[in-house]
Amino acid sequence: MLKNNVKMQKNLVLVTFLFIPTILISLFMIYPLIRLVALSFTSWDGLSLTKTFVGLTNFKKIIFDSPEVWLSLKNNGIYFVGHLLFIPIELFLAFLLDNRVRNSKMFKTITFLPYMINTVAVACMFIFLYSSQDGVLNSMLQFFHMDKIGWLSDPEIVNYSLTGVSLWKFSGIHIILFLAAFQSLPKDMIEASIIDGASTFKQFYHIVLPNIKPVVEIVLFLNVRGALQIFDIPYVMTSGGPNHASETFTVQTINTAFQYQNFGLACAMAIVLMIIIIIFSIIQKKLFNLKG
Amino acid sequence: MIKKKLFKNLRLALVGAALLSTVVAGCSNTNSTSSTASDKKVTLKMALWGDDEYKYMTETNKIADAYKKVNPNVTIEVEKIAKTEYDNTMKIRSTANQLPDVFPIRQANLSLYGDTMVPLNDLKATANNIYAKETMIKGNVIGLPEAVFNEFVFYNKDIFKEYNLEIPKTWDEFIKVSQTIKDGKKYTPLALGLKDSWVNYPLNEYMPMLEAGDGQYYNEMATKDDPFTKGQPFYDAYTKIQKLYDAKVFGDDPLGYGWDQQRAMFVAGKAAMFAAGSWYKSDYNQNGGKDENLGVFLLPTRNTTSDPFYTTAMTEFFWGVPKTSKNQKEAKEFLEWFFGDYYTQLATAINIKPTMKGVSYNDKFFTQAFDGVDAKSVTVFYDDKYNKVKNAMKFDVNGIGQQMMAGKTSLDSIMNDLNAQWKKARGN
Repeated sequence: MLKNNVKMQKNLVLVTFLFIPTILISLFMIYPLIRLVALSFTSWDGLSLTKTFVGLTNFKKIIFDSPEVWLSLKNNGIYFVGHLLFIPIELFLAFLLDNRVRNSKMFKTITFLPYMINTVAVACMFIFLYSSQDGVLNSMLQFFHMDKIGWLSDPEIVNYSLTGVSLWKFSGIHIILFLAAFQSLPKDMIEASIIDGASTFKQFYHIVLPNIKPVVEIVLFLNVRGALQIFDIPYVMTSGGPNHASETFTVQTINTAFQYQNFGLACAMAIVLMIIIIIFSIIQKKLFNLKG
Repeated sequence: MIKKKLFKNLRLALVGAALLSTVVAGCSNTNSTSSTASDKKVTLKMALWGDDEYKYMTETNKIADAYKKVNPNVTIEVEKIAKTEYDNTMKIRSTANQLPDVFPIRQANLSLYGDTMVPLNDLKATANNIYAKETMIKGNVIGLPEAVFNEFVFYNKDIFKEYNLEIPKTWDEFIKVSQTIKDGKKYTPLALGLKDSWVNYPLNEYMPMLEAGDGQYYNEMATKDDPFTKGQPFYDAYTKIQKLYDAKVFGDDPLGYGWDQQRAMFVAGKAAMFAAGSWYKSDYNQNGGKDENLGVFLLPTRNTTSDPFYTTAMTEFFWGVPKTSKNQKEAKEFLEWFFGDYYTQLATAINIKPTMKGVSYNDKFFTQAFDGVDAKSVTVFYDDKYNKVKNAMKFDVNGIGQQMMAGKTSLDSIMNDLNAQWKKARGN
């Protein structure tokens, strides 16, 4: 009897504590996801009371009849490659900041600062930096008697300019994640390698790197997700222009829904993006673990 | 012992119940109406996005107090929603059945609300509204426009004086004026921050209508398969725009700066001209621009002075009542009252060009633009058919403006491409 009571009490406590998180997750994650999937099979303008079921038409349109959507994915690719190439540099900077430079605390703060600034503020700041009218970068170029560059106006350059902003903003969080991983490593391993005469590079490559593999994997996943979902920087800085040259997949999705009143198609695009992220993450994970 | 256990269980049950009630209370729907069958007290919720209107209605001449005098049982609650958030907020509220009882719709979204709003055909205010019948959706007036905006070219008088320039009367004269300022190498002739594509709407969006002399020209385009062919108003208008773009009168790299910098350049006297609607005047003053230097003229898009001079009239703030409102009768009565004396005072106070018959408008600043010109207004309106084609092919005239400015694709190629896409979108 007493045992039963204790069990019941335990269950009651569990239910009470899990009630709110479960409700919140159901309300803000599971329910919207179900609605998203349901809406992706409809043609809906976002306002009408009726939603017409159109089956797989939206998905067919995205895959076979929307070259602009796939072109926008190419722009996402530039962010992905840019951040991917920057990961070794981030690793190296984190390695240096792990008490290997003077005033490392100050540098850690400086590194993390851009991540703490609101993205819209960052975007506005860079708009003035890149501006063709009295912009800082072009003024510097002119000071050195060089031609102005259309940082945001040249379709060939604009995506690289925006990737630069993204790197400035998000590298800090990657560096801090790597730094946390370094600091969680047992000190005796490094000490043993030093006694064995390992150079700094060898310490890093043979001891540090294999031991922080899970963190590198997380950063790689964040990179795939972040690059494919990038929205705020291109939206605020160029609105996807000039003439759609810097439109990313998410900018396209938002415009499809809110500018062109096609919520059904936009929901289908969101699902396609989700599937692409999952596929990319699996491929990346497999490639990463190839070496064992 | 048993008592203690019971107390413990009861406490846990109470905690659970409290949490549940919090969630239920949070999710519950608060009704805007408190009514009884005999003496119906009603609260009408009203939402808007305009700063000037909101200030007038809540501070200068409180709309709630003014209406209380006429109808003591009705309380008006005014809510202001940020301009940039307004459209999406209304869409979200519509899906949640939470639309306010009275609210304005932006013209760009009017056709979307065709099935959502109550027809206002029978109101006296509708009969007195100059533009209501021109802006019907599916044969019904679903919103009464509050204001009408003309498009102008604002110019810096000092710069015009410096180069001894006169107000241009034709498109070629306009380009020539721009060219003269450009040749002076001192000022940007026409500030156009094309990084934000929408800023070229007076050119890329409105010029086809001016060329056709029809504010509903886009609606007519929706009935054709190839409206971008040579000889059609759209093509001819874009040929003129291309000529202006080719003159490179917008500064070094117009695609590299946006609206904010465009405004700053004009206010600082670094740019000579600025194309925008009458709404820009208050923005100019708020940013420190001085009226002494500011002049205004209508964008001259005609070929010769013997051609008719068309100018656009864009109606905006379409006040309507949603079908989901539980107080439709009261809301319609309120609109009838709103577009009476209160509207006359509002229009005068915030200096908007009125849409109601008999309401006078005497803005000396903008009147100067019409002096000596026999301008004919064409009322801009986009219907359901056009919006369907536009959304299906993601037709973006302002984006085309950026493409033309970039100069990497020929106009003919752009137009051929548009014809193909338009035909396909119509077919779907």
